[in-house]
Amino acid sequence: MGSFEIIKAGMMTSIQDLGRKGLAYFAIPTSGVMDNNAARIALLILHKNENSPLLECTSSAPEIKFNDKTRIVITGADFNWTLNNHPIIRNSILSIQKNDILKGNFSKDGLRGYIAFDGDLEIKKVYDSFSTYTNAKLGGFEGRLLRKGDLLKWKYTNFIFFKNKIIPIKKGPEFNLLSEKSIALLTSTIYKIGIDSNRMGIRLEGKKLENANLQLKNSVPVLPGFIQLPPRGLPIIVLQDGQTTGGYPRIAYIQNRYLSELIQIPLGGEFQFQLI
Amino acid sequence: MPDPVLDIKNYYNDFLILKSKDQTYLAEIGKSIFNKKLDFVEEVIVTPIEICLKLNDNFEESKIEILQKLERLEVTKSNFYQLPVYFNSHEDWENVKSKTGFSKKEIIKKLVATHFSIAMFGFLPGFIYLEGLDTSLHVPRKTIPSKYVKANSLALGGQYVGLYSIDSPGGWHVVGQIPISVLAIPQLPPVEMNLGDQIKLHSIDQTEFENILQKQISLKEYNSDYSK
Repeated sequence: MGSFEIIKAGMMTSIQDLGRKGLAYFAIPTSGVMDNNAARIALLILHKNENSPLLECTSSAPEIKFNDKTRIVITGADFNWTLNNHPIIRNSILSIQKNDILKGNFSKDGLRGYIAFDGDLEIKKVYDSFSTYTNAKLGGFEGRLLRKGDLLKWKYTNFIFFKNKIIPIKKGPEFNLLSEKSIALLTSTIYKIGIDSNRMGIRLEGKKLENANLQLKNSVPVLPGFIQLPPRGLPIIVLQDGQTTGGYPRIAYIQNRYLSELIQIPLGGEFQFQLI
Repeated sequence: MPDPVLDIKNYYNDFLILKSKDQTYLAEIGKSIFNKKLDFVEEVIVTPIEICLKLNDNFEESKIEILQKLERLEVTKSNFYQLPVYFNSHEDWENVKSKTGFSKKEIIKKLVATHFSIAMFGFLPGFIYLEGLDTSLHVPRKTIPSKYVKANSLALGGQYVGLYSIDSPGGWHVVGQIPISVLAIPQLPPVEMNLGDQIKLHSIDQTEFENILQKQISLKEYNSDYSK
């Protein structure tokens, strides 16, 4: 659990997401971020789901004190943002330490800015959206704009406390073929991106899984992000130019947004899988 | 008779795996899903024992019902194709002869007598897996794949006869060459033949091979001529 505190609210700072859809029939507006593109960019840079909530700032920036470490991305208009009084750059990941203070000024080259967080904000969805709609006092943080003294909490999701880079994986169709020991190895081994990796797939170097000699009787479908286990025991990750079918067990898979993270690791780079 | 049950498993709204004990039914459902161009399906991959549907943001759990309600195609519109093959003297023949114990002549005789059907596309763009191969001709794939196999080579691999669609490395044993290009990029569909189509091989000699090749006869043309 982490949290940040609003020291100054700024002119109109609120929590938004992509909006509350399908209720215009009852005269409930969509709400949501004003600049869809900037908001999405902030979330995508963090490899977050595009529907995650984030802060929208308008015209004058808030001042925020972080009580815990996290990572953030700021997009949209230039508010002359500073972190502990040092200028920061927008559109890239910023590492935040405990007690860091994020400040901004009036917006220039635009009106609205977005701050996305690595964690999941501890607020509830209303009608399937986190967006604040102040007129009906619904959504976001208590249905209102943020004020001085508000304490917003988040749950960590993106594994920033691991020493190594973490790539989350989900169980694949043949996950059940893995022994307890192999599952433990798969998620504890620090894998290296093999030098014979290419646009078809990534070969991993590291500890071999046991009982890998389980060829399937038939070829089965595979998609980019699927993790196959060939007989030599070192997983292969199918990539964008990969085959559409294969005969190796599909032990796990990497969801699209995390695949983006994986394919940025250079040859020889290290990471660890985390089962989610 | 009611249709056999389709077993559908949802992997976190990322993709669905569809299975059925009835292989023919599964292939037809796969074809049907592909033809319907459902808005929540991004990719359809059909293999003999499984269909995988890659999902997009339009998917929600309730859409699974649409799949369960899919009916078999009213008429199974599978086509029949005669495929001309020049059983040349490729070096892989030695391996095929020694592994099966038959002479080249005997093997060709068995191959042209077989009623094949298209089991799946996979491995390479447009690569065709033909099923129906006599078990006496099942030759395990090479442990070390050949560096180069020519496009439109016909090859044996395990329980299948494969049709190379492009030049590629590959581990199947090449037994012949067809004078017609399997893959027709950028046409749609990129391959004339489809899942479930019935295929018979027709042995041709080198002269005919070169003749068809030179005239650039398409599979359709070849088959309409042939049926006359």
